[in-house]
Amino acid sequence: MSAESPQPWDVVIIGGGLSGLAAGIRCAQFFKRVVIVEAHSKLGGLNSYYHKLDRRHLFSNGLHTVTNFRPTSRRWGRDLVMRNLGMSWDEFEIRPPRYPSRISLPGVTLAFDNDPRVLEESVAARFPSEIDGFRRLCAVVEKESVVLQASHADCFEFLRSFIASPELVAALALPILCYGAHQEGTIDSRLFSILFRSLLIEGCGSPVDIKSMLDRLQTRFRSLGGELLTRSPIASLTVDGGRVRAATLADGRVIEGVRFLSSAGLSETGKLCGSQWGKPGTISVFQWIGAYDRPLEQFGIRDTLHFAASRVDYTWRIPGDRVFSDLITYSANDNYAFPQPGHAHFKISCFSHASEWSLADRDAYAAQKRRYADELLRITYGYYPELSQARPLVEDLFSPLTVERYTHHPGGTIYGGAEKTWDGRTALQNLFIIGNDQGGVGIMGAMTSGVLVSNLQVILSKAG
Amino acid sequence: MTKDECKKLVLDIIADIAPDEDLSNVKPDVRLRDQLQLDSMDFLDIVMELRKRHGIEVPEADYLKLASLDSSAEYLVPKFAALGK
Repeated sequence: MSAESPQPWDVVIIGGGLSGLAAGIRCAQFFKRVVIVEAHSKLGGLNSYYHKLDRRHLFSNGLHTVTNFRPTSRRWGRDLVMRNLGMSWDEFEIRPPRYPSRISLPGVTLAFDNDPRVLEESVAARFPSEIDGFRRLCAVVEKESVVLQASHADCFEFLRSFIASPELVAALALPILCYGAHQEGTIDSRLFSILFRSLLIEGCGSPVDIKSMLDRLQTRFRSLGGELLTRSPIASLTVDGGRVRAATLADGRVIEGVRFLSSAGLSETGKLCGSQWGKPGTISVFQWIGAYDRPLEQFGIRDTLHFAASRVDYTWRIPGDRVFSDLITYSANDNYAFPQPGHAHFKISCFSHASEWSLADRDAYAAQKRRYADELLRITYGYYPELSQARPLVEDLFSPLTVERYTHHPGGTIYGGAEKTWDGRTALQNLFIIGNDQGGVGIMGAMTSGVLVSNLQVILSKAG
Repeated sequence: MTKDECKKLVLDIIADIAPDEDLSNVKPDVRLRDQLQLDSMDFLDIVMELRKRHGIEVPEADYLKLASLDSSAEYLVPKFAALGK
């Protein structure tokens, strides 16, 4: 089957990340001709991988954790995704953590783990007068359904309606903001609730690397007859009478389709159509990764995830003129219960703006990366003193410009644009948004987005 | 394949998709959605299972024919007959 075959594709999916692969699998179960068009040679988008040290070390650049570890119902979380993909959770070999995760602010430390009682007991011990409010919060959050609409309520107001202590509000907001707050200031309370339920109540796990997960999804997609085009960046989408008719690739190939799903982002997809949609995001990441020759626990790292704030009154606004080290996320890749020791990779991430970075002067860029990394490491040694004595085998640094280069998202945004479509619809009848800009966050959020938008807007729609 | 057999195989599929549902009193002439906790995505699963288990293709335009057990049977009997079943 050739991409240029005269008959249009039933579904054309832009982007081979987790939302695109999930949508591809779902659509290929109902349509004969489905194609995923990916700009890069590797799949994964923001959750991809690369090799270092003569290919001996495989790094997963996005993977921090996979949420929704515990099964709940067929309409939510991991079972919703797995039954829609026709796959089993077990085949992804996602392992639970060996150590609890931590939320820390000056004077406040909370623990959370796959057993929700760990967080509950930790709140009860530090904030005894707040425990009833916390339980009510959890009860409300656990009723949350898969989002296809916004509440337009502020997540901090939402938290304050259950909890009086500003310290506890700050502590509970911290992991959610770090995990997936797409705009500065605040996020929607329903998106907040979904992330809270997915991360803090249903728990986390991890595959040994993201490549194993992408490989399985790719195999499933191909087994259903799906076609995958890599190294195929799209130059433009041709719009005709309120519909997308075709995608033109950078090399001139034309791919005609009946329906289009785009994970390129709302404003980026608008641009491909010659329109202005949505509002680009501003939130990007600066990340340091170190690979060690021994398990991270031997350096005193006994957290799986650790969300750390240097002040209780932090603001969810990222300053443009310095590294934003007020909020840091630590992730110990090998602190999950893998059958063989995992990659001893330690990731330190903080937020940054792309506007702060320039590639114009390579030496200045490298020096800036080094300076920021040293500041992050200095703060990190405060939490993990033994790490200061350890030398990583190899280290690597990401700036927002790195993310921009590999994902094509302007500004290197990691949680998508500042505006979401929620129901996936666009101004064009047969074009829908999946992934971050539909509201899907993280690995499970992206896959949920791919299957939901496929079901509700493509497979069940009469618009096709 | 008789109408009753068709109703039975649809119920078997629903029992697997929605194991928590009590299927002992499903009224054949009432829409399934009105008596069971099924949503539009569950109907997609029924379509998938009909294809996987019985080789029956239900095009999107015909999804509404699966609304009740009676309408499903009405729709599926000739489909099975066409397959020689």
